[in-house]
Amino acid sequence: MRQQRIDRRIALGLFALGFALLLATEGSVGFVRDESVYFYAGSAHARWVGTLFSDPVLAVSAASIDRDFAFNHEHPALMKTLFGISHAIFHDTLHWMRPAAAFRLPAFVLSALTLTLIYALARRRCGRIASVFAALTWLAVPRQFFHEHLACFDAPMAFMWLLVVWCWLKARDAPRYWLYTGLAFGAALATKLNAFFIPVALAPFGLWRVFLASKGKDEARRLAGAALGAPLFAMALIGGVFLVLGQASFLNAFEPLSGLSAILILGVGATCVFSAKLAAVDATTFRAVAPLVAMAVLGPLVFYVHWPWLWFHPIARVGEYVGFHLHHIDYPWMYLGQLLLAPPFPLAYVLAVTALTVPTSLFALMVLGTGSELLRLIRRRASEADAIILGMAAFSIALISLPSVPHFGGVKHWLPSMPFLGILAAYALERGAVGLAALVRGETRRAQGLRSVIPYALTSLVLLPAAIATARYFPYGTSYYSELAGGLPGAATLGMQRQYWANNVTGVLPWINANARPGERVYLHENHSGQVADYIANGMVRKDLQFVGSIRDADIVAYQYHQEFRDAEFQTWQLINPRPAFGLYVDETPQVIVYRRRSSRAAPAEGLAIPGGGLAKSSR
Amino acid sequence: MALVALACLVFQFWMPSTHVAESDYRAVAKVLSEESKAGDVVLLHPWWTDRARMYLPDGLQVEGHLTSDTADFKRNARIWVVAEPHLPRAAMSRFLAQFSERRSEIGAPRDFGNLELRLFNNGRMVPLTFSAARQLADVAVSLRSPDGNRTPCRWDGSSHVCDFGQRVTVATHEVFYAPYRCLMMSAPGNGTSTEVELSPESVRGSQQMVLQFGLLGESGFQREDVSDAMFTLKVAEKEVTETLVAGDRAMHTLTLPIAPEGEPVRARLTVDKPGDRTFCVVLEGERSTQ
Repeated sequence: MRQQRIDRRIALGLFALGFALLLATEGSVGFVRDESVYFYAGSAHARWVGTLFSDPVLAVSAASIDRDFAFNHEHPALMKTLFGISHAIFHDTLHWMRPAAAFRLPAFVLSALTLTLIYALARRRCGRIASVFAALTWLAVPRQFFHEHLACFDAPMAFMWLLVVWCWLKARDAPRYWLYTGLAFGAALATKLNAFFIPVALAPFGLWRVFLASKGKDEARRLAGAALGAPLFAMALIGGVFLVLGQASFLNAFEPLSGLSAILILGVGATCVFSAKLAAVDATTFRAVAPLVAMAVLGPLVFYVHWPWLWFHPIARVGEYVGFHLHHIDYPWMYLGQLLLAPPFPLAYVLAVTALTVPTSLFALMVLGTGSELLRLIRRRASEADAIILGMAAFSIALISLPSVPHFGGVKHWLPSMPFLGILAAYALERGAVGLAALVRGETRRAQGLRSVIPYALTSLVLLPAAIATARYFPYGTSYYSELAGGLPGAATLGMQRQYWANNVTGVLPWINANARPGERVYLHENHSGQVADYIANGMVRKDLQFVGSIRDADIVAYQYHQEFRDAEFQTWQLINPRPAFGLYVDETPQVIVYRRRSSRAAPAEGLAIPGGGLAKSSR
Repeated sequence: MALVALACLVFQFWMPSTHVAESDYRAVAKVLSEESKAGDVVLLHPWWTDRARMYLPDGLQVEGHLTSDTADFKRNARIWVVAEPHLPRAAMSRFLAQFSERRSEIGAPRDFGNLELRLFNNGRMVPLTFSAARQLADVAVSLRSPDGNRTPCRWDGSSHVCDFGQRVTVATHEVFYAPYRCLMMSAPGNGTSTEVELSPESVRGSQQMVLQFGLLGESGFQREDVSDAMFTLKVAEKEVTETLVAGDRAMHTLTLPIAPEGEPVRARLTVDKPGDRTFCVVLEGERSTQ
């Protein structure tokens, strides 16, 4: 019990550390293009929640739902609703924090909880030092640390994936965790589209578990097959109808009181009945089957219930949601000197970008940990939990590696792999520490002291360069490249994408605030009106400035350096000025370059000192 | 793993020492303002070290783009290389090995902190004898229908204005990440061409005509609902043609020899479905490289 208490305290400490760190550093993180959209949608969703309390009948009407959920309905509502409620409480009502911090608060909570879950998962096998290390890898990768600040879905999705796996593993021997697995999967579905792949990733492990649990138990195996087969049979029938009728007729036919609905309800009902019978026949097999059944039944149910947008038109609107992502446009993306525009994308892209964007001291351990766990798996020495951790580490990376999957968005699309890679890195670290300690011979007090210090020293040594890099690149996390790349300058020479999502503009806003004349016309290239409004609302840019939508109309242009946007810079040279007035240069690489119209009053001769600017920012 | 971590730690502490101080940029700018001549160009190495632009003298051509390391800079007699050789992957010796081909260094390299300044005579220079972008008023532009009939376009003082909303004008634009001073032009489609014509007098003294063409900026990404474009360069009776495939964003080049006393020159763009793409066309006369 005492050991458990210590672990709980460490987990709590990790949560507090993560939450405090994210909250304390939030103020300098720019608003990415999508985030301002989610702020707006979150406010609308929160308004609906307010209506639900004040006038429930009105709230559940189709008109009210459409008003507050139509905007940005290409993503589920869970996180946006949490962002909006948090904003309404902590900014609008309590005035405790600026608007952006209040919106982002739920994301901080989930990222901080990610630390505790990583610790708990790693602790199943590792000592405390290695488990703390595993958790800290979530904070010590600069790109991850950046994403953890955002009121977006990628870091929350990584948490949800981890939560499902955590519940799944607990469900082997703890009661009710099969139920929590289903609920956690529902929450994951309510967070982001990637969640649809969680059952794909876990099903092989689940079926293997069922196979082992039901070995030699004919009745249990028959019931397990029926419980798992019923929803699959129902889905196959519905899929067959879809193929026969085509999309339009299928959507018309799928009414609440239709044959298709009956198939669905019968499938769900049958799986529940068979599962209940199985529970009575064999508890071990039931525990193996139940998480899968719970995911199949509760996952879609939670997804449907949480999102009022689906309530009146579930099939059509789910179809629209999935369809949006199936036909998502591909944004241009620089990779090794080539601008990737459309599939097929290079197979090695995800692995290469991971290698070049995870601090090398951590990446090396991740590779070692993955390799040795793979060997253990091949030699049948890996436990089920370790096999699952290995599988989850590989799954998102493998999925996004498929040449037909969109590759834009830096590392965020395979973020759910990273906590598991952190755990595998911890395995390797612990083995390394044991190996190093074994090199210290003798039983003198000095030798013993040295052996006890080695795990701490090694952990610190491995984390330190990553922590320094995270601090140095903050808040420009999307620009970070590892030592293997040669840092950001090396990556620039390799022809890699140097930034994305338009948030690095924060590096030049202080200069604009200090140097723009009252009412001067400013063009923040690649920042849409929502982002500009949020910078004003959060006091990051002066209210009196006029923000315009084109280079031609501007006196000051903040150009965002991307290869595919170079034409915009060349136009700026012609229309505004060929000489930059100021710029954000991260490790010498141009990120956001400010041009001032030649006829404008000259800027001050000396550069503006920016607090905390460890990176080069030049002014003239 | 400890060694890898140690190496990473050293890297993180070393990286800031590669940054360039403002005073060093100013020192280089001072040298360039005192020693540069008309027609000189500054090449940045690595190609993306654009921070130097803030400090370099006005009026001096500065080049730094994805393909600038291998560019010939045919119109520049001398090249100043402003390099940051201490940056990771700067690979200065490899750069110099290929850059120095048919170029000779003048004097010794000069160091200004983390900046290095070198001057080269550009042996790859080819003198310019005519530029359609510089002498736009001197060229004739017309639309040529499939049956060969020509409808002349009107010069309005800054551009040639044609039927079907076509306009040929000059601007600096990006093709394959590099800036070009080019004729911006398109074609009406359905087999009708836009044709630029030069008189023999205007290209007198040239030994070859060079036609470069590519798709402008982001419009170049367009692949759907557009057709390939055909470019033709004609000098007297000699003619060369190349097709620019939709979505191909590279700059292409056609050349033809021309008699020193001058010959009529035509450059033609034909595209059946131009979409909203605009083409960058560079048409120049030059002395032969031979």
